[in-house]
Amino acid sequence: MKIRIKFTKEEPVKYLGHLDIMRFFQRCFNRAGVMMQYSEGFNPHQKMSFAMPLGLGITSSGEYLDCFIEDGQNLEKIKEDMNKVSGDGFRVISIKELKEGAIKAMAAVAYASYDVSVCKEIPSEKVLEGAEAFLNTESYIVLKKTKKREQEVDIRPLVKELSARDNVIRMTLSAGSEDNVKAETVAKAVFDLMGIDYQREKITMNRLDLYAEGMIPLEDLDTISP
Amino acid sequence: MGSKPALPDRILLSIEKPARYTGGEVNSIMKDRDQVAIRFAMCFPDLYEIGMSHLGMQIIYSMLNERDDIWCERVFSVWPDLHQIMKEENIPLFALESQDPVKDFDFLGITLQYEMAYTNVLSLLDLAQIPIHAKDRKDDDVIVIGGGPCTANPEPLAPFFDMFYIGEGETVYYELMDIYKANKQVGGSRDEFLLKAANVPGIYVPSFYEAIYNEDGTIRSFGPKKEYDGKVPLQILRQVVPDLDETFYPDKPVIPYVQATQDRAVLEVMRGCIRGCRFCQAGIIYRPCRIRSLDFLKKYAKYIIENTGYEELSLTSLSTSDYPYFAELMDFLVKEFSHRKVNISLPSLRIDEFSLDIMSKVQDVRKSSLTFAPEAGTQRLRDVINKGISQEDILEGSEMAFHGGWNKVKLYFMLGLPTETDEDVKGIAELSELIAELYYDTVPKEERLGKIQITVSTSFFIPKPFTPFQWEPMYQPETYLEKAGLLNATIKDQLNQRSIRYNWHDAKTSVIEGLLARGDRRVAQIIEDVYENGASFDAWTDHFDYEKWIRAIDRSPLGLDFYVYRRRDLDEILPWDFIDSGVPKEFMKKEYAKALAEKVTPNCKEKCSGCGAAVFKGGICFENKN
Repeated sequence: MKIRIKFTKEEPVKYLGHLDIMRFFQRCFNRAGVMMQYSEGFNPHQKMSFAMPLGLGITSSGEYLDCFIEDGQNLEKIKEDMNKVSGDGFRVISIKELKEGAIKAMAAVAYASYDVSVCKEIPSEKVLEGAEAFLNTESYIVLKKTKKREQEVDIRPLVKELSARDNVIRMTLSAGSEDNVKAETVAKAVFDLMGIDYQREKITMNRLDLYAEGMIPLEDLDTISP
Repeated sequence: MGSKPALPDRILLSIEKPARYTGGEVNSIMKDRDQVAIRFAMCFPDLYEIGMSHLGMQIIYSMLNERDDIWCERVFSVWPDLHQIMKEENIPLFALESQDPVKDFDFLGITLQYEMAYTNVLSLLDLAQIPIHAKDRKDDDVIVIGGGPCTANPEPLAPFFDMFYIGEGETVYYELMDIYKANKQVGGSRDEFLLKAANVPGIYVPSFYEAIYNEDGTIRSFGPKKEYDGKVPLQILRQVVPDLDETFYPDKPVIPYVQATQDRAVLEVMRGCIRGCRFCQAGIIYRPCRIRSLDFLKKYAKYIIENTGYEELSLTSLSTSDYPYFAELMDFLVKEFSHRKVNISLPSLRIDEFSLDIMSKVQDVRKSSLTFAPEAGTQRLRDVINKGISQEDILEGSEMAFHGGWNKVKLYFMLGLPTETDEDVKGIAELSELIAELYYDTVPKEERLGKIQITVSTSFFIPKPFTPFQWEPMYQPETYLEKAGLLNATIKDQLNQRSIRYNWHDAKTSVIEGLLARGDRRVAQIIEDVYENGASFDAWTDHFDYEKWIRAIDRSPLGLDFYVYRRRDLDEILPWDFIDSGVPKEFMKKEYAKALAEKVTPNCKEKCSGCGAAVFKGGICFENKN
């Protein structure tokens, strides 16, 4: 059975890299006694894939992992068992079975939403001003550095929604393999429009959720309701 | 719940692998700092990935945390990128669990696993903002205690530690903690505690002792300082656990998030070794050889796998083939774990029909390699070092393995062993060639999975305290390199040279390790000097700076000629003579004489040699007498 797990990656584990998280889940499945499906070959491994990597230092309330488990297991019980043996900061929110032929989470991601919290030294009116200035521009060009070259990218069309309240900028951004913009890039733009020097320590970022086209949360995409 | 990080995001985002420093791993232990009487920082003076691979640390961690009145936390060296930032910003070294500064703890326990970590010890004391010299520490400073195998000769570190725990960690820690607590409750001073501690078996407080030297630099006498005469023991008896089944074993080891070098569950099946190789320190200081019972191992194997979710279990000991219930244990593990997809890894196996059969069940034959450690190239020299493996053993084992599908062989040797001649060095090449030829002679062409791949590795022999070779000199780095050159040339002259890869250790590192292994307390000055001149992470090839060491050694009154290249007199007082390892010096002398006479000593199972370890009342010394 193919399942999709929605989980959190909170403060204490926000510095774990992608491979660290994968090893964590492998072992968490084992500790929870989940019967996993394994790949063929002499060194069988669990088959799992994550929806979208999260930058180091960013927390998340909505991460996704697709994997294969043996049929006939109770998903609610797996969730409970995993949460009993999980690590601080990792919490399973939901486990759902995927329909036959469901698109992989990784391929389905189209949008990601974030809360970017701005430090209290900056007045909330100022943040609001910056956010509104961003919404009112027609284009905002940034230099995107790849390994080989630098490229000018207009990030304004990649920002689907943006609002600010009490020093928190909430944003929904294009995500995935085609159009993608980082929350930090948008935060930098807002700082620029506020006329304030940007530094990474002036913000904290939390990813809220991931969505497919049509703003369908991944936990509801191609999943079978229990 | 997690603790507030000691380092702000700004710093964590700017360094390599920040999760090394943030703690919070599964099975790590959180307590209320206000509800415990003793805070103990357990430190491995190397990088997180190395330290988290170490079983001994997990044992002490779980054992101390078993008690409600103690909170034991972990500390590791920080990599130079963060070290520099912490120095610049005046952030003191912190423990992972609470993220609190180590300097506010009651104890800092540092495990000394290899000599090349000694500069890291100074580096972390410095970063922790703890006075580097024990004599400068005040009543409310942390008590710095050293443990681990290097305490076989703690003298080169004597000025930096308040005390050393000599021997296996499971025996007297609780007693030491109780004494500390009692002393604290009555408002006793640091010195009062140290004096009481010095009378706990196995605890050595270096500041209570002094050495007096002869004009030629050797030790004239060593013992308690005048004011401590009669108040502290003359000899420190190394602590050894008599029955391993009665000891604490971590059934919930901390699971590192950042991948450890040894990223697997570890089951120690046995401690000590019956074989008595004459170069091997562990073979003496962990005597007598003691086993864990089959029931114990079955029980803990299950617990550990269930509590960690590891997909690999490694059986460790100095020589796992000597475990008497090896077949039964493997039978159980294969049955229990194969359906859970847990791999069993088996280092330290002797290659024979039986072990090959087991290995073929638990490993991918095509990927795994056979490992032999003949240590010397000729039978004569193997007799000198008492390495009980013959050319026939190696060739027979290899032949069986070739038929089983193996075609990778790793061979480990030492260069510079006592009495070694050019013939012995060339013997290494010849033995490797014989193995290669054997492959082509015994495996028909159509059955071969490619050509044979032989890897020959040599390290340079380093005489260690508490071995029959403790009096032996080492060679200059150039001489080692000549030996390696001779071996390399001999290999290259042979028919199958293309099948044999040869690599050798760094000769300069070996010489410095030799200095630290057998130094006395005057060597501390060299360590401090080299640290002050920027040395750290000397165990890391890229970081080791020989020139720095040589400059520090040149500034000290006694150099490598005295500590490393000199043959010590049999009657000389050695810096570690005050430690009673259970095996008296007389036994070592006898073994040394037998080595030079090329005579072997039977292993403990064949015949008791009366080494003295029976004093510990356990293990093989008694099994045989039933």
